[in-house]
Amino acid sequence: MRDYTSEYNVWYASADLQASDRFHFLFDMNYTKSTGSFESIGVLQPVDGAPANADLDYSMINQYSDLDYQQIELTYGVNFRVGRASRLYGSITYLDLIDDQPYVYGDLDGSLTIVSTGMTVGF
Amino acid sequence: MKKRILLYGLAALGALALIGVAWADEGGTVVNGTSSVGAHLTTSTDVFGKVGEFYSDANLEKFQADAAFSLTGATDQSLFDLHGRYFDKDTKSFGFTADAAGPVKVRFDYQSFLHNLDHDNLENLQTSEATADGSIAGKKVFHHDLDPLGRYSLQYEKMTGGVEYDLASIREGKAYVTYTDQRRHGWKQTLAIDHCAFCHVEGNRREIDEQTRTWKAGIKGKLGRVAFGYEFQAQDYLDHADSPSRHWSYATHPGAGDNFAGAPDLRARLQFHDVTLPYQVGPNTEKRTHEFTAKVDVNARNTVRGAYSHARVENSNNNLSSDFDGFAFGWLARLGKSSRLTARVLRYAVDVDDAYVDLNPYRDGRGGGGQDFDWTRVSAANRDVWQADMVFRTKLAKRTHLNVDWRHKVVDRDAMNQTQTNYYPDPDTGTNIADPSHPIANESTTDRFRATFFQRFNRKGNMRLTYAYTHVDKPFMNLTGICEPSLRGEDHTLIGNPATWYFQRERVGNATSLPDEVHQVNWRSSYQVNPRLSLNAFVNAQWESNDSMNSYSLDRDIVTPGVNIWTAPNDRLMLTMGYAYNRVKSNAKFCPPLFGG
Repeated sequence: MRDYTSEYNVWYASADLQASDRFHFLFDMNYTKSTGSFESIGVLQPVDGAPANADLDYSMINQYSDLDYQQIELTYGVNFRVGRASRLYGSITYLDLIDDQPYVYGDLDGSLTIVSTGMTVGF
Repeated sequence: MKKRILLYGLAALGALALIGVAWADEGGTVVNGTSSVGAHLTTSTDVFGKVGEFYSDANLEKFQADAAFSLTGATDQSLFDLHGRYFDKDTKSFGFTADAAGPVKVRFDYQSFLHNLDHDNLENLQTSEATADGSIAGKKVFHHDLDPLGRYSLQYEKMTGGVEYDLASIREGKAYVTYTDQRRHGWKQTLAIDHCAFCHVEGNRREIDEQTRTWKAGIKGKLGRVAFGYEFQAQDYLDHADSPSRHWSYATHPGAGDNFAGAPDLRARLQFHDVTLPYQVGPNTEKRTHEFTAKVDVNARNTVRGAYSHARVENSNNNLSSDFDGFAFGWLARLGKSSRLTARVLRYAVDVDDAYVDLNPYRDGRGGGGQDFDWTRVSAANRDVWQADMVFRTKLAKRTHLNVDWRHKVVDRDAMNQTQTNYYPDPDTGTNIADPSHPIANESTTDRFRATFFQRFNRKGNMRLTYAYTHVDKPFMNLTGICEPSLRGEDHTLIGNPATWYFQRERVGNATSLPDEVHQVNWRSSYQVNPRLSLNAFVNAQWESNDSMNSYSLDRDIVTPGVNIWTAPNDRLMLTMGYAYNRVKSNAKFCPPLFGG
C-alpha cells in the first residue's frame, strides 16, 4: 500500500483604482501551483521461486507518474473617460504555464499574451 | 446548420418584435445600456493548448475585432433585457428576456466557447525486457501515435429558449415550454489497445459531433390549498459522427512470430484478430420523463409535499432500455415559534434490461477446446432504494440556529457484481463441469448524522459550522476483483485440455474506493470589520476509511482551507486578495502484472 497525494495552492489579488475623474485602473493576479505524486514503493523482498534476474528495486517507479504545474495569470487594464457617456479602454493579459514534470504527457510549457483596446458608449 | 440559422433568426425577430411592441405602447419608454467595440491581439509561445485551455487560437498573431452590448428597457407594461458579446468566432454569447404586455414572458440565451484538449504523445510507453546480463530480450511495451501532429479541441454551443404564459383561470397558474440544444463538435485523441493489452497502445484522432436536444412542457398553479405541477421532458442524445475504426493485428508471438509452436493456439483463444472493426461507438438515446408534484398547506403549522417521477431511457443502437420510478413524500411541521421538524421519504427503483453477450467458443477446433463462455450481463445499475430524512431546526437565541438531521438509506442491488463463466475438472465423472456466470446481490445501508450550528454577528457577519458522521454497511464494491495468488505447483488444466493452464486466474481481493466511515467538518465565516474591511474564511475537511475489505484498508483525507480579504482604504481604491489550498491524500494497493501476456 502506498499513498497518493495531490495538492494545489492558489494565491489571488486584484485592485481597482479610480485615480481621477477620467482615469480608472484595474489589476488582477492569479498564481496556482499544483502537484501529484505517489509515495515510493521501495525495494521488494525476494519471493521464493522468483526468476534469478528479477529486479526488485521499485524505489524510483513512483516518480514516473509525478505531476507538477505552475500557472500565473496577470491582467492590467486602464479606462479613460473621453465624454459624459463614453470611454476608451486598454488591457494586457499574460498567462504562463510551467510544466516541472514533463515525463508523462510531454513538456506542456506555454505562455499567452492578449492585448485589447476599444471604446465603450453608454446610453 | 440551416435549422440552427433559422432558429437564431426567429429568436432575433421575436426579440425585435417584442421590443417593437413595447416601444409602440403609449407612454414613456426607458432604455439604458452600454455598447463596446474594440479589437485584441493574441500571441503565444511553446504549447498553446494547456495554458490557453479555453482560448481560441483561430486568429493567433492577427488583430481580431470584438464587441459587446448590454441593454435594459421598460415601458408602462413591459420589461426587457438584451445582452451580447463577440470575442472571436469561437467565443460569443447572446441573450434576451422579455416580459411583454400581457401574460407572456420570453427568454433566449446562446453561448459558445472552445475547449482545447491534451495530446498525449505516449512517449513514456517505450521499454523492453532485459536479461540478467543487461541485453534486450523479447517482451516489449511500445506505442504508436498515428496522428503525431494532431491538435485537438471541442467547440461547445448551448442554446436555450422558452415561453411562459400566465393562466388567468388558475391562481399563480403558468404554462411553459422550453427548448435546449447543446452541441459539442471537434476532434479528440482516442487510445486503443491491441491483443497484448497495455503492452501496445495506439493513439489516433476521433471526430466528435454530439448533440443533446431537450424539450420541456409543463403547467403549475394553485387550486385551493393545493399547489400542483406537471412537467413532461423529452431528451435525445445523438452522436452524428462516424465511429473510428482500426485494424486489429494478426495474432502471433510478439518475438518469434509464427515460428512459435503455440501461435495457432494463441489465435484460437481470441474473439477476433486481423480484422478492421469500429470502436468507441457512441450511443443514440431517447429519454422521456413525466414528473408530478404537489404541495398542500394542511393548516398554518403543517405542510405536506409529494412527487412522482417516471423516466425511460432507450438506446436506439442496441435496443436496451432502463426505467426509473420514484416517489417522494415530505412533511413540514412548525412546532412552535422557534422550531421546525421536517420528515422526508424517498423511494425509487431502477430497472435496466439484461444484455446477452454472445461469444465464439474458446479454442474452437483445438484439442480439449470448444468451451462456451456466453453469458447474460445483469446491470449493476438495477436497484431499489429507500431513503428517509428527519431534520430538526431550532432557534437557540436571537441570532443562533441549530439544525440536526439523520438520513437512513438502503440500496438493494440484485447484481452488484457478477461472476465469470468458468469450467473445472470433475475427477469423479471425468468430465469438465461448467460454472455459469451468476449475479451477486448486495444490500448497502447508510446512516448519516449531521449537526449544523449557525451564528449571526449582529449585522457584521455570520459563522456556520457543520459536522457529519456517515457509516455505510456493505458499500458498493468489486468482490474478488483484484490480486491473484500464486498457482505455482498446482494443476488447473481441464480434462483432455493440457494446453490451458487456467481460463481466469482466481482473484481473491475485494476492492472499492468508497468508504464505510466518514467524518466531515465544514466551517465558514464572514465578518465586516468596518465599512472598509471585510474578511471571509472557510475550512472543509473530510476523513474517509474502509476497513471491511480483505485486501487493504482504504484511507482518504481531504482538507481545503481558504481566506479572502476585501478592503477599500479610501473612496478611490478597492483591493481583494486571498488564498486557497487543497490536499487529497489517499492510498492504493499495487498488484502489477509485468509482461503478464
